[in-house]
Amino acid sequence: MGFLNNLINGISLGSIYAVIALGYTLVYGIAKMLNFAHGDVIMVGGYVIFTCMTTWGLNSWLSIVLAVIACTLLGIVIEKVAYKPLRQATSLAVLITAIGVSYFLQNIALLIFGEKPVNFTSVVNVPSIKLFDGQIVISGETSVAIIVSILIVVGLSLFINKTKSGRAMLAVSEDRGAAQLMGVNINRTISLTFAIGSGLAAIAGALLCSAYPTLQNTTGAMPGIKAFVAAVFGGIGSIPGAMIGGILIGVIEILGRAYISPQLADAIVFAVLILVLIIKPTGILGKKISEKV
Amino acid sequence: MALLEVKNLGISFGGLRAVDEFSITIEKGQLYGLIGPNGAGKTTIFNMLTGVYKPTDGTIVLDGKNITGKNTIEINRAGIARTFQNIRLFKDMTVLDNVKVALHNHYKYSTFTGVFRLPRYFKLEKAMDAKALELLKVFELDDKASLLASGLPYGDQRKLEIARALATQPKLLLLDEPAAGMNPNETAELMDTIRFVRDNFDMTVLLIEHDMSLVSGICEKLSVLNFGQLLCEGKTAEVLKNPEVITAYLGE
Repeated sequence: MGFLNNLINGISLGSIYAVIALGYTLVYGIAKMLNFAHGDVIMVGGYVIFTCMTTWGLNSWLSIVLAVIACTLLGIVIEKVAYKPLRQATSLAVLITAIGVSYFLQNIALLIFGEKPVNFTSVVNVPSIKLFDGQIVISGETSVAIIVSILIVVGLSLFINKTKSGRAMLAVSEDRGAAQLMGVNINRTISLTFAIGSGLAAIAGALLCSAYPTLQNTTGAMPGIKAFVAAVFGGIGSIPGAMIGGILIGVIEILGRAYISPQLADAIVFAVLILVLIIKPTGILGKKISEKV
Repeated sequence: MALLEVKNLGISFGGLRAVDEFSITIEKGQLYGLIGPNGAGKTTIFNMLTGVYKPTDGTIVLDGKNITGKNTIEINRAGIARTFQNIRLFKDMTVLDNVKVALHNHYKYSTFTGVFRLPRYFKLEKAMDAKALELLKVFELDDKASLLASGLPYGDQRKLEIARALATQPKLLLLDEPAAGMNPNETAELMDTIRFVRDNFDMTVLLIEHDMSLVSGICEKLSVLNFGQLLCEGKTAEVLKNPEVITAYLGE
């Protein structure tokens, strides 16, 4: 039963990673850049919810909505100010800028909220499920994380494949130049991508901080990087890949912590990244790019 | 009034003068050919006409509107659409979706409407499907609408590019080597398609082509480009007999 408990916890953590990984994969697929500040948007989302609920006493639903709005706007602003001027620059310049934005957000949070971690009140108000006479306990946070992540993946896939804006995103991701010549507004499409990715980060922040209720300025950094590993693992650019990669990384981390070594759990996750890059560099669902000769 | 009036168009890349003093006038409904040896600057002219490159000198007037130096989206909205020398379809999208992307600007609903699937979403998506299928039917691609674009045979991919360009509802259609890589049968079929498009869509067509059977078969007028400059222009039959043109193509 211990194993099943661990497995469920792994899937739950993995679902949160999956939601974060979706943001990475979406931005990478469409804007062709790695937004390393993505993890820190999660932290901002966490602090917005914390402020709304604990400082202002608003209810959890309203707090989440406000956090989603705040992070969406933040995502759009970051793209406009930091990345858009670098549209023609090398990918290295954009990468370094993204790391700069990441540190900027972390330090702004440090300035406002201080270095002492705050206690996050869970936004989830769902009773836990007990199975097999209480031998297996699924907490409310766990079931909510799993359900929310599934809803997000399904919703996002429908949005991208079935709507006009989604088709524009796919077209930009495949051939920016051709899309533009067919009348697709590239700037608006990339802006929309950042808006969606950052809105998802706010939801990920709510889930993450509810499950692991200490919040500080570096809270988003480590989950952000692990979710990046998950996105690469699943095949970066692929939405179902992000989901599968996220859940696998979550399970590997929790099982590694339980059965191998709690100290080595993070190292195991990154060892997985190295193995993936050696064995199948495009990830589980990533496309093989074969050069035509 | 002419549909397209280009005067003294020129562009330099660093010290290289790729196109110089290029002028062309195309009447509405014309099938116009732009020919010349490799590297003469034909595709560069297409890139300037569509806003991919900003011309250094000269003016481009489309249907009485000055579009010089406008960006690609503005020019596309003003009414110029194109295909590419090397096919640039959205390969991982379906044939139908390729066309629907290009219908983008003519069926407006907000992202909000799309996310929450309001009635307007269903109405417009249905209208887009119908319009896209109607276009695909012209190119006999309607029964392949749900295939991925990458799964189409080469000739069909070329046709889909033309269908996609037409979906933006242009006034002027630019075709960059539409017959490249086609066998004589496919080329003959393509000539019929281009004529059909011109007649049924009230289209004006400017095409770049090396295949002389296609050029002499459908183009009413030609401009010949050599080393970035206009060598001569006129009725197709006369241009092709011009000794200077023959020299430019075959050498002395």
